[in-house]
Amino acid sequence: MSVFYSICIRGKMTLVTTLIITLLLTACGEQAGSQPAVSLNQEPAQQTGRHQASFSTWSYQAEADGSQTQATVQYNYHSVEALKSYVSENKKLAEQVALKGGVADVNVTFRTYLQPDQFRSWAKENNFVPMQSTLRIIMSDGKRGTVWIAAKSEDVLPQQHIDAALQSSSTKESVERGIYTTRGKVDATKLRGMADDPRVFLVDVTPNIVRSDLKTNNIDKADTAEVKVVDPFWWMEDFGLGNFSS
Amino acid sequence: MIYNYTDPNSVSPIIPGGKMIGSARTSSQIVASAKDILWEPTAVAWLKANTTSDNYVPTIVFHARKQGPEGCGNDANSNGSWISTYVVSNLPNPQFFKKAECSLRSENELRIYPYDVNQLQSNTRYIAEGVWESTDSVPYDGFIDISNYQMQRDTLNNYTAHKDSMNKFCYTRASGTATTTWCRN
Repeated sequence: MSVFYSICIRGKMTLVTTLIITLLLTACGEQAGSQPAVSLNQEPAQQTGRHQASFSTWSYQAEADGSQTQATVQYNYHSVEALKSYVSENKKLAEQVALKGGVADVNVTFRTYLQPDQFRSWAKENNFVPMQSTLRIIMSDGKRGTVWIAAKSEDVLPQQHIDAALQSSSTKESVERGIYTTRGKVDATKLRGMADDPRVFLVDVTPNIVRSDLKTNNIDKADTAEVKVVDPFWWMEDFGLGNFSS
Repeated sequence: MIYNYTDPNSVSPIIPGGKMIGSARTSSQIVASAKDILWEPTAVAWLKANTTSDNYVPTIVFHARKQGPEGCGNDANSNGSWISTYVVSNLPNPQFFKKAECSLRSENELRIYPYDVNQLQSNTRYIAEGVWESTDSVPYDGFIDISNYQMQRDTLNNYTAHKDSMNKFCYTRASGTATTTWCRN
């Protein structure tokens, strides 16, 4: 089993490979030996190191150093079709997450900019609890500006934070476009409705799948792993938002 | 008071020009900005050539801390009690990442980096600005440092290829605004 884990933490195996090797070890009597590495009544040791896995349209790599575990999701963002495939995959994954129930950790990307009050209404409709939301502004030199706004207890999008961000000497001459992505928590039963909402392009549920996969592979601090996913909106703007309007 | 550091391992030419500005906004809120971040053409070419293989991206890192018993000069005795309320950047497809630095108790470290270095343009003035709010009864006597690293994007972000410069602003209630420059301006 030590070989199994050392391979695993070097991040060379997919879930399927893991399953095959586990079955082979079982068939060879490895787990029925006189001194099993893992007792039936004992949780397997939590592993640190690097781990990675690939799925149909995305992959992730993770690293656990004993004090924290972090993972980054990657997907193909080089075409409109690739982005739409990633959305389709997430819709399927959302069904899995919904079946498990509980609270899901999601990143939502809208098809276009929502005005702050539209965003607040959307969050209320879905009982969505944002941690942070992202506002697009156009700077005085015409460049895109990105403003991350932290939520504050019951206030999903504090207007005073927006006002303060737009009063900075760097931003005071910029033009506000609207909110385009948000990260937060929602009851898993809401996922299907959110994904089918015409205002929404992507409900990214991969953080939940990553944590579940890390847990399956006995990676340390899987439940609390920080999972980073880049929202696709920058590329959507590059391709033209009209390509994502429905 | 401003403390300036230049790391002995700094590698030219990726050090950007620019300036850092810190100011107290209210009795419990401070703003720290890296403004006019500007990479010259040789720096952008170097970054593009040295980024793709292992995801090392130029990263602007902020640390916010309260002053320790020995004042601003001693990081080790400092404590963190800040939350960032908003962050602004015009870097291309900027990513924003908060973490608790080392053993400090609150999310006092903030990193901003462009996801795709290929979209970085030379001779373009970028900004990265963060605002912190004190979460305890002591107002804002503290400091923020702003550093430029070339850092891993996709894993723990604990691995630094190059730490190029670091500047630290020290605030007291009477300090007002402090400005300093990076290695070039």
